[in-house]
Amino acid sequence: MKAVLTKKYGEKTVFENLEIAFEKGEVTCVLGASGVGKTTLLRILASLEPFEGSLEGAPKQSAFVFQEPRLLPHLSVEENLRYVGGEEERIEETLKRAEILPLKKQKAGTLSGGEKQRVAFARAFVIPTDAVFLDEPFSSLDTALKIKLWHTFVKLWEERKPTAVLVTHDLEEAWALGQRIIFLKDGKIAIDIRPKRSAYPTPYGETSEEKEAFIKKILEI
Amino acid sequence: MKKTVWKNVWQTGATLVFLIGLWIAVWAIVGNDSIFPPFGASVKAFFSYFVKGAFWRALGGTFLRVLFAFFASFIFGGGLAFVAYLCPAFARIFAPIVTIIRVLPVFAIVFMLLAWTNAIITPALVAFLSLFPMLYTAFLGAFSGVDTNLVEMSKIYNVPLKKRITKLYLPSVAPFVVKEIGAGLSFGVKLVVSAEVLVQTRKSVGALVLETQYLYEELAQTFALVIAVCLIGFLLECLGAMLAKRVERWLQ
Repeated sequence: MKAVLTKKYGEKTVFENLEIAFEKGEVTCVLGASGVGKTTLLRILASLEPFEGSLEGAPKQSAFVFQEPRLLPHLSVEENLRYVGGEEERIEETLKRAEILPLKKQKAGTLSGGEKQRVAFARAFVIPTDAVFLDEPFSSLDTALKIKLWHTFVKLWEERKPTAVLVTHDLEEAWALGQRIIFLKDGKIAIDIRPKRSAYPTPYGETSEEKEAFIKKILEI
Repeated sequence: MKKTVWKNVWQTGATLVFLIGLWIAVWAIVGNDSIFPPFGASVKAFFSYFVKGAFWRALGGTFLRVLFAFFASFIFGGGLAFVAYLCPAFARIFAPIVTIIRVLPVFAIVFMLLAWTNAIITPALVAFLSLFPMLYTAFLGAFSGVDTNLVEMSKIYNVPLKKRITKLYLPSVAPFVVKEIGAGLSFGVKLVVSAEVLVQTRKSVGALVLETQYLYEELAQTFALVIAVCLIGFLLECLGAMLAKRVERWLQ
């Protein structure tokens, strides 16, 4: 997926000929300060936002995990997955992978916040997709739940390895999940790295020289 | 739950007692049975209708017209509101038409409708012209209230329109629209009976009301029919409220 894009909101220019490419089957984390255009970039890639420029290799079918779960509250967990086109066998398998199979028949409206977000992840991976876009999906969760869900995400992603773009403002999260990390500043790519890692996801709080250097560089920008 | 039911029964009972008391008070003040009939005579006339086949035939005819008017308004109102919701340009073009229908003095054009159709259909059309804008507005308001986040999610996942209608839109608008069913149906009864009186529809409650006007000192029968119409309206509103509760429970 390759894009050259310009995006303006009235007088305000968010991106001016930003060139950005995403490798197939890679998890890219997009970092940046609030208002830098992370979510806008994600919405453009998911064809939710109009823009000037070009987008090569736009996914035919994409999935999106939002900050909030966006489930149909009156439907059960399995019905929510069926709603987006999930097939019976696949639903069962995905729910098992997401460790929420016992919740299958439960109405989405009755689930806890963490469970709902787990269902939202399962929904994103229940259908064959070319790309998965994630807009700060862990931001409303407490740290313990967040780390558990990182593992759930990796477990679900690893099966088919679609191109994934994760927007976050959490450095630790980007370091744990990003096979590639992009840092946006003033509508441009300021840092673009592929960190070396001992495990995937990188254990929470694990430090390395590379990570320290990355943080230092961000602080200097 | 039991406490709420008893509270409702108690309050409804108190209202009924008040209304009956008011009736008796007005009757005593007027002091003329041919102008204002006694309560007992009207109740007697009311029950006497129950054994008459003509009454049930008239009630059936009126009820069919009410159902036709209501469901036609429901389907057209709901369908067009959905189109208006999906296509704002259509909504803008259609808005003045709805306004015109809403302000249309339907009872003034009732004779035009009678010339174009007949006395059997005209009361239903009169009710349709009043109910349609009401239900269209209710539906449009309900559709506009559908969670835009869920609509966006459905778009991203390429959920087919049929599935979106049945799983997202209808459950979202159901609680608001179902609440309108009882009120709409009882309003429909009022409109249909009024139009039936005006155009003298045969075998209808309106025709029975009209008949009683020609009978000297039979005002009690007119009041009995009024009681019957009010009772039907009341029952329909109760039915609507029960349906609304069921839908609410189903969606929880």
